[in-house]
Amino acid sequence: MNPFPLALAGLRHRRGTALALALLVALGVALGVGVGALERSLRQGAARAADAFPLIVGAPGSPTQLVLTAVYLQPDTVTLVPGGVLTRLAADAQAAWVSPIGFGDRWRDKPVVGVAPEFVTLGGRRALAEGRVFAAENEAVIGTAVPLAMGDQLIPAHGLAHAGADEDDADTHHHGDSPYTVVGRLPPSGTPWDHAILVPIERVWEIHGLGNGHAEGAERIGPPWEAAQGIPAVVVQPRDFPGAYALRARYRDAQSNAVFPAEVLVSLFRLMGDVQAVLSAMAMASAVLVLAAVFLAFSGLVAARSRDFAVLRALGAPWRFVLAAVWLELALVLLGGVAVGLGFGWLGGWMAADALGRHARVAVTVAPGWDEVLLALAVLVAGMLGALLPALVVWRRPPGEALKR
Amino acid sequence: MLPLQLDGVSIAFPNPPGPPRIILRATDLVLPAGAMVGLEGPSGAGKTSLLHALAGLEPVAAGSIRWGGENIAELDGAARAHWRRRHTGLVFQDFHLIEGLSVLDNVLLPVWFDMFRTPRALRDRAKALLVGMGLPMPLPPLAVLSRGERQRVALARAVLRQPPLLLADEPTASLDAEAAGRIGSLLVDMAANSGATLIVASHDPHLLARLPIRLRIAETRLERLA
Ligand SMILES: Nc1ncnc2c1ncn2[C@@H]1O[C@H](COP(=O)(O)OP(=O)(O)OP(=O)(O)O)[C@@H](O)[C@H]1O
Ligand SMILES: [Mg+2]
Repeated sequence: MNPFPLALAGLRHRRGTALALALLVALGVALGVGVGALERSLRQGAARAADAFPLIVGAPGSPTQLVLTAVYLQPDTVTLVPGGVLTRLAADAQAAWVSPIGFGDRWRDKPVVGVAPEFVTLGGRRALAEGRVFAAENEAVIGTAVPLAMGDQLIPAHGLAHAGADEDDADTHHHGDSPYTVVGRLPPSGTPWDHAILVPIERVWEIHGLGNGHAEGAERIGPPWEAAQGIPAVVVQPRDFPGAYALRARYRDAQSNAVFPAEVLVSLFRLMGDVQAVLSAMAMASAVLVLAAVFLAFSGLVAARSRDFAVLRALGAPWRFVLAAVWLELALVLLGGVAVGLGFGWLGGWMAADALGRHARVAVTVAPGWDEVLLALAVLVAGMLGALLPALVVWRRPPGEALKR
Repeated sequence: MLPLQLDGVSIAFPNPPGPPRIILRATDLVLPAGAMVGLEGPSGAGKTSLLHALAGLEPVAAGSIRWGGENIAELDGAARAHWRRRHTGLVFQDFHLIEGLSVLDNVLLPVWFDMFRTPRALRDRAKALLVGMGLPMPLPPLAVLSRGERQRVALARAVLRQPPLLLADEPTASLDAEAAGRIGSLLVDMAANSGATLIVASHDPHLLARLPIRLRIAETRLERLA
C-alpha cells in the first residue's frame, strides 16, 4: 500500500488551503514555544547576573532597588549608605572581602564604577581576560564590551552614570588633570558589568572632593578605609554559610539594609512566574483556538475531498488505505506547521530576548530547549490523533451516496 | 468472465418518517459470464442504485447477488471492498478522476491499494492503454484534458488490472456525440477482448444498441427486453 501520492496530490491540488492551515498551526506553536523559551532564558540570564554578588549592603529601602543598582548598574534614586558601614564591614571577621560600588563619572555611555581590587577578581575567583588588576588611582579595568585596548587612556565626563543616559543631560565638564590608563579587562559576564569601567573607589571619592577614604596622606588602594565615604552599595563575600546569615542580620538596622540578591531575584521570578503563567495560559488558549480552527478547516478539507474518497472506495481501496490517505494529508500539514512553528517560536523568542537583553545590557541567550520540543510534539501528537477523527468519519459514510451526488 | 445470479433482490432507501422507499422489488436474474448488458429506464428508476448494488457499493434490502458463486450481499464492507478490488472495473458519468494526480498516476491509482512500488509491467500496460486509446503523448497535465480524454483515462483505470467485471454508469452522458461514440466503442471492445462481463447503465441509444442483452427498470421491476 502506498497512500503518499494520493496525500501529496490532495495537498498539491489545494496548496493554498494547505499552506494557510500549516501557517495557522505554525502560529499557534510559535506562540507557545516563543513565550516558553523567552521566559526560561530571561530567568537564566538574570540568575547568572547575580552570581558575583553573594550579599549586598546598602541604604535602608527597597531590596529590589539595591539589586538593580549593584547587579544591573541601574541606580535610580540613590540613597547612600554611610561610609562608617563600609569601614565596619571591611573589618568584619565574617566577611572574606568587601567592595564598595560607587558611581562617579562615565566615559561615552559606559559607567565608571569605583570598586575595590577584590571585586575585580571576586577575591581570586575570577581571572582577568587580559592584563592585571588596577594598582594605582589612575588605572582602570574595563568590561569586555568597552571599546578600548590595554594601555589606552580615557578621560571620563562627570555626571551620574547609568546605562543609556543621554550625553547632553549630564553636567559634562572634563577632569583633564589625569586620565585613566587601561590595565586589564574582565571576562564576559553577560551582565551590564560588561559595559562598565572599573576604577579604584578612592579615585571616585576624590573626584567628588571627598578625599580618598584613607587616613590623611595615605595613598593606598583597597581596604581598610579609615575615612570611608557614602556609597550606593557594598558587595560582601561572607566567609561561610552561617556567616552570610549573621552578616545579613547584623547589617539590617537603621543605617543599612542587607540582602541576598539571589533571594530578591527569586521573589522577582515568582512575580515573573505569575506573568509567565498568564502568558503561557494565553499562548495555550490561542494554541487551542488555532487547533480548533484547524480541525474545522480539516473537516472542510475532508468534505471537499469526500468525492475523491468515495471514488477510492468504489475502486475497492481497503479501509486502511483510505484512512492512511486522509490522515497522511492532514498529518503532513500538521508536521509542516509544527516544524515551522518551532523554528519561528525560537527565532521570535531569540529576537525578543535579544531586544530585551540589549536594552538591559544583559546577555540573554535563547537556546533551543527540550521543553519547547515537547510542547511541539504534544501539539503534533494531539493533532495527529485528532486527524484520525475526520479519517474515521470518511470511512463510516457509505461510498455510494457521494458518488450519486 | 463472471456469471451473475440475482435471487429475490430488493433495493430500498429509508424515507423517514414514511416507510422505506422501494426502488427494486424481489428481482431474479441470471446472466452468463462475458455477457454484455445495457441497462435502461427513466431517470430516477434506480439504474445507478442497481449498479451500486451489483458492485457491492451499497447493501441490498433483501436477496442474494452471486457473482460466480460468491454472494456479495452477505459480505461486510471491508470484504466487499476487497472483492471489488479484485473483480470490478468501474466507469462513471463524471469520470471521477483524482485532481492533483498526473494522468498516468490516475490510471495506476488502484495499484497502490496493495503495493508500495508500481511494478514495471503495470506501468507499461497503463501507458500502452493510454496510447491505444489515442491520448496525446507525452501525456499532458490532467487539468487540460477534454471531457472525452478524461473518460478515456477513467476507462484505462477501470481495465488496468483486467477485471472480470466492467460496470459503467452513463459513461457517455456528459460527452458530445463523437466522443461518446469513441468511448462506447472502446468500452465494448475492452470487454470483448478480455471476456469481461459488461453492464452499462445508459440513456444513450447508440451505446445501448451495441449491447446484445437489454434490461429495463421501470416502477420497481427489472425486465428483459427482446
Ligand atoms: N442514498 C439514497 N437515499 C435515499 N434515496 C436515494 C438514495 N439513492 C438514490 N435514492 C433515490 O432512489 C431513486 C433512484 O435513484 P438512482 O440514482 O438509482 O436513479 P437512476 O435510474 O440512476 O436515475 P438517473 O437516470 O437520473 O441517473 C431516486 O429517486 C433517488 O432519489
Ligand atoms: Mg443514475
